[in-house]
Amino acid sequence: MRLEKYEVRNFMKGDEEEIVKFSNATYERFGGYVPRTTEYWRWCCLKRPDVKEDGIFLIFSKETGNLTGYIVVGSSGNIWEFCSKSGTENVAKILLESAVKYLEEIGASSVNVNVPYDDEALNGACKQLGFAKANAHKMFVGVLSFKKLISMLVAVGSMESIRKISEEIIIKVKDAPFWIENAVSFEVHNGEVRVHDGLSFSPTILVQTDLATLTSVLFGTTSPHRAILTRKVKVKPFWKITTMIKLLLSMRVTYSWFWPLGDFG
Amino acid sequence: MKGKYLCRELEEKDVEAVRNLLESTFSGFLKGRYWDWKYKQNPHFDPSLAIVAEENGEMIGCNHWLLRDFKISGSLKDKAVLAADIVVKPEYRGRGVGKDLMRFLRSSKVVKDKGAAIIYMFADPDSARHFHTPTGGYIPAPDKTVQYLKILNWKKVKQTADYLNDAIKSGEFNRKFSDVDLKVLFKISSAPPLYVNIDGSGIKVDEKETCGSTRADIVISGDLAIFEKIKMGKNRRRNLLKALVIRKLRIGGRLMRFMDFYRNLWIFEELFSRKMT
Repeated sequence: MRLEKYEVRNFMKGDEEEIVKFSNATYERFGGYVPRTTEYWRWCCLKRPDVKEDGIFLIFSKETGNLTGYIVVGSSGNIWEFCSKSGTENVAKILLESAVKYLEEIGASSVNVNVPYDDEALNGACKQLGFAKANAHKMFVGVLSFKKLISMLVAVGSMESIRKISEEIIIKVKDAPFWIENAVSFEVHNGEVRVHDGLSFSPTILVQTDLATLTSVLFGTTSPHRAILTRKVKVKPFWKITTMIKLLLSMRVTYSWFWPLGDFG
Repeated sequence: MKGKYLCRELEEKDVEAVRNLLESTFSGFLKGRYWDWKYKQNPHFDPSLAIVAEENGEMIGCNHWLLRDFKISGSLKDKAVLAADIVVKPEYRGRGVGKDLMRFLRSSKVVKDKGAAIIYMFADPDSARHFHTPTGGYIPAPDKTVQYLKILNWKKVKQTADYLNDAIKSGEFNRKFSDVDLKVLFKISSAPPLYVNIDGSGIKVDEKETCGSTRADIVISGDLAIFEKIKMGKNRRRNLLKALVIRKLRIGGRLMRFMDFYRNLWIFEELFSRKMT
């Protein structure tokens, strides 16, 4: 019944570009993954030792002929990539059923798959096919250069809220290990931010914090308000706390991250 | 003993030893083709980001980083380092080799020259808490990935049962099954039923709800995630009891049979201690 609208087939040489385009468009709203290029996808999926071309399923709309989803299944039981057009639970279910059938036929003992938390179609398909949530591995992140990270974040961040701020700020990281700066300084004037490493001037605001807190605030896992309230971020003078909160809010990662299993390694 | 080893960049002559070291640790994974695919064939592999620890000419550890394109948020893409496989030979663990391997790359000029601002890795939360976070300054990423698992069969548990039967017969465990007669049925969500029959002849594992007309003495039912949590935890007995008390795991059968089950929990600990999937 469901297949009347769709056509499922295995991967064929030449599908790579369409898959890559589809994958990047589907996961555009997330951070935390490797943007697909044909070269990366070939290595990550096609050349992977446990993946064969008959373990890659593509689904097309019969009406438009467009790709509406694909799944890359490894004989180890891992679904390395699972992508379907948003709002098409049927497509996700057809793909997942194909994957489970394939794995049963080759005698795999389990199926593992990663899906984004807000993708109802993919989550729904997993639940309908009797999958359980698992917590095998988590993603962790660290900083190699605060100067570069802050420079990048301010370059793409919303500077509207700090347009009227004019300050010279130093952030001191008290437990910075030897491979990273123990202080970052930046000047904010008329919504423009210039970042320097080290203590380059006498600041109007001095911030003291620790490595984990600063990293969590920049990656959006701790709010600046909470960090200041719990005294993990100390701001001097204290009446500049609201200014500092505005600044930290404008320079942090606001996107949720999602990693397809294929990025794991 | 500490400090005798030397950390240095990977050289062509080390490849065989590194491949063996990695594949002995991740035994069976991809049947020995893992290193070649992950590093040698990887378009992003840079040998200067792989290092080894050597002691008296013996390879005792290695650490690999991969420089990748990475999407941080919206329009923000940059190079990021994936801290990939880090391995230390079991007999050299606990001497700080892993820590030195990690720190060597962090302080390396080669890494600084690559200009990456962030580093990321994947690990189970327990090892991250005890090793990666204090050593490498990692924090949990703003990750909203949901991981799902479904068990298709208990093939690997059956293999473990065969291994245990052989090990017990050869006296490896200093324990016997002679006084045990127990039939336990596991009804775990997202997995087929698992019937475990233990008697004087050993452990028999089946994917059925009953063995012939014989019904199970104990029926344990619950969610796969809870089951995994008990298995992965350090104190499995305490975790099992806790799961029973908070009704995350349900147990059916007579109290006396439950006492028998609890007394022989070591058998189930052994049975599920290895890879289940």
